[in-house]
Amino acid sequence: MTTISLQHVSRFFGNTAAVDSVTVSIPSGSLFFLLGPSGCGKTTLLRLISGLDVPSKGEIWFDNSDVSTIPIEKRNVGIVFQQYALWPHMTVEENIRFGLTQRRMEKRAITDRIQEVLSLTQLGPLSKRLPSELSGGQQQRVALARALALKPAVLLFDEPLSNLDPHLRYEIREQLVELHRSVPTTMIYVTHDTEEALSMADEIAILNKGRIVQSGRPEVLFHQPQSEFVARFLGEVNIFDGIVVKTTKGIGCYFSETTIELPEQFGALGVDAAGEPIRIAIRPSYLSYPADDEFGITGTIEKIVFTGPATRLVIRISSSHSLTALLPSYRCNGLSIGDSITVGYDPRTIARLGNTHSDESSKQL
Amino acid sequence: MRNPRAPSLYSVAFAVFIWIILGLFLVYPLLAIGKNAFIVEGRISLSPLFALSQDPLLIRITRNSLSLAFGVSLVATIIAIPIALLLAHRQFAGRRIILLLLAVPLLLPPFIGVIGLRQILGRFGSVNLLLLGSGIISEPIDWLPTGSAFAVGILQVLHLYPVVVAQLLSSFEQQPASLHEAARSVGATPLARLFRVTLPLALPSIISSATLTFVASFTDLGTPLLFEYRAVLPVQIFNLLTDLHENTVGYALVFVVALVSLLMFAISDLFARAHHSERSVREGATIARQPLCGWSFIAVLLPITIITALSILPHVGIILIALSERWFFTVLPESFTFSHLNLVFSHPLTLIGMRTSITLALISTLLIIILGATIGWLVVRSVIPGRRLLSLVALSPLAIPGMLFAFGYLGAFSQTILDSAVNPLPLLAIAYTVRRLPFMLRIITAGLAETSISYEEAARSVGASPLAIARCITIPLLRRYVIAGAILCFAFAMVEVSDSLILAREEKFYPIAKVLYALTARPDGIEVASALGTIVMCVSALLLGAARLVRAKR
Repeated sequence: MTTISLQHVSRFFGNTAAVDSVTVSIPSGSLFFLLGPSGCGKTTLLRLISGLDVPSKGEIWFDNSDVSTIPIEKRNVGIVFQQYALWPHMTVEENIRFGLTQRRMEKRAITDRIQEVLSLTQLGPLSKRLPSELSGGQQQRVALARALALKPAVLLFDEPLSNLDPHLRYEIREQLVELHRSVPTTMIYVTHDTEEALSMADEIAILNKGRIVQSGRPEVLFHQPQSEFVARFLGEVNIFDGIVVKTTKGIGCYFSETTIELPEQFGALGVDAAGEPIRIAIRPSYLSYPADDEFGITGTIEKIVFTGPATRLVIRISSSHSLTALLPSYRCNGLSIGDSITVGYDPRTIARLGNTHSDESSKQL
Repeated sequence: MRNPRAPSLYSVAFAVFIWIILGLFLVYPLLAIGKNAFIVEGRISLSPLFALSQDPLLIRITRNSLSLAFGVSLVATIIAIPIALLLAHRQFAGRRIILLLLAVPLLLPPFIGVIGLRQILGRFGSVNLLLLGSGIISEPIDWLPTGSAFAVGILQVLHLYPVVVAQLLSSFEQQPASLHEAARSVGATPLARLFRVTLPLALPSIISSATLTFVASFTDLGTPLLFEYRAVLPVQIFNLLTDLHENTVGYALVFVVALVSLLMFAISDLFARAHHSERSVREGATIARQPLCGWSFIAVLLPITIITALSILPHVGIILIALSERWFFTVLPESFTFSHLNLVFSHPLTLIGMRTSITLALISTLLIIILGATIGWLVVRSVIPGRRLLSLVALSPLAIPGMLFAFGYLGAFSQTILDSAVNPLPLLAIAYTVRRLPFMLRIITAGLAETSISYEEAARSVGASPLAIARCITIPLLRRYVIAGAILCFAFAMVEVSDSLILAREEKFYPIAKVLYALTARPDGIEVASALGTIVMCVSALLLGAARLVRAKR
């Protein structure tokens, strides 16, 4: 298993930086996700790691080797392409065999390895078929088998599920996680699908405009986003700009005659921080109704949207602020537009964002 | 350490090799025309061009050529537009047959059609005999008088309008239905839609095919030669062949031809750039063909059938002559025979022609495959600097008439190891290669563009070397494109006209085109020329069909 380390890696196309001074360490044996919107540089970064492209600046290390300029054929990486790139004139077995013959392995060893990966990916009965005779999911498995056959030090996935229907995606997600457990290899996976990343990753790096804006474990990113971009990219969120105030229970965020209690760990801000500006985020799904007595936000219902199991309420809490709450639909029976409502919250679910105001990309989200 | 993003050593070596080839056999010969036209006694001089502009005969000839080309281009376009529109937007019985018949004129060089046309429309041809016999006329009409521009023009139109139809058909078929539906939704009548939507969108294609037709007519040597219409530039240039080195007027005339061709190419290119709308709207569903039946079917099919029948008349005439035992003063042959066809395989001249053409076509096709594949790969896949220029230069023969190349070669390589006066075969093979290289290059670049680079990247990811990738991935994936392109190039090389007429001057080196030309000049050669023409037509049809099948096969 290989630890991958990127140090100030950049890739310029003309004057445009597709990847801009990225520094990240990918732990050995992890399932690491590069997540970001279209055009954020994630595929370019994957191509740099694979050796299909070389950085304009910076270094890429596999364990103790600088591989920055080593081409893909000498880097011992496997790659599953977005469109699979299965050679259409070769059968499933030939697709897997091709790489093994390039390594000049013995015939017997090649046959054994093919059988091994065919069995691992459950492709045995399809081994004599051409790619055109396979379904999307089967083609995806062949691409995986072809990459796995060479026992690569690093396995790379470039949005491998983007061409599959939602049901199949869900199924293959689980299979890939299972595979990662059974074949412990460092895997890097590129996607723009937040749910895919959150449900599969050991660690995620979120990219925006060629830079990693935050990286870490999925739960940490989801609960403690450090910027409005990350908070919004990972799901719907309410963001408030206020000032720190001292409250009877500790400290809070005050804005438009509303005070939201902040979690205890924000206590480090201390009394001295009172009056300082603060930006907080709270996810609509973490609001509750009816509210308990301790923590609540009161306002007037402005909009009610039924979405099946959950109902989205837009609540006006002041002339300049509204709040979105995603509540279980059965709790919303009897609520009407114009009603006064108090929704509850748990201060521990409140995240503190960086002080920078919403950047351009977050406005688009 | 070598910069990994710099071009690989392979690509640099290939690019150097290709530039040398193109420089030597494409750029240098064309420069040689300018050199021979404007360098008099070792000094640059415009006197040949000045002399040309002072010569009333040459001015008249230039004017004739321009008028003929303009007329042919105009008439061919006017005929082609409605036919292409109907084929694109209407479904009717016989549509596929018409499409098939439209390809017939392309199977043979136009000049050979003169024999067939004379037999049918000549003074004592089938039509006159039929009209005389039925009492409609009392004196035979000279439909295609010898030495007339009209006759040359008619034959050129019949030969060239299918090319325009093919180009416009593709343009009309690709227009998105939504644009027409939008016009309907705002109440545009069919006529308004035609003039405000359909034709403006197809304008670059119309201009491109019209300029192509113009250049083809302007530089056609065979048809005016056969009709003995000598007052056109190509024939004058051809006549000056013998004293080309003493008389610079020949090269000055070739320069005029080059200038006009270049101007036409520039006009076409300007239109394509100015009206890039045609390219940018090719998205979404295309117009579904509406059925045509009843009176409208008859009203439409009748003129199309007449024009199509006229265009295949020369070929029908050739086939009938090839099969006729006796056809003299009768509407149709009195009896049929295969003896002329058999004679093709024993006549010394036809045997020379077939052997020469097949050898040259094979050699040039092989060279085209090597050059086309290399240039295609360099243009689409490599990062070598100057890729666009390379592509432009390699594709330029599409816009440069064959006779320019032939004269360029005469000027550039006389008294060298490649002197065509000694042995024209090497230069003919090179000329065929350079002339047809664009066809292969277009097919291969299209193939490479359609074939995702991920296939090659995937092969790299499993450790394959560049050679292994080329052998196991790229070439097998491009195989059908290369085969289809090779068949087309072979078929075209078999009947290459201008280069063959100009470069091959001794019988023992005659390719098929020159054999056909030589036989038509002999009183006893008409039947065997027709038989050879018939065989060439059948082989060309088979080859074009095979190329289409290979290309379509997935």
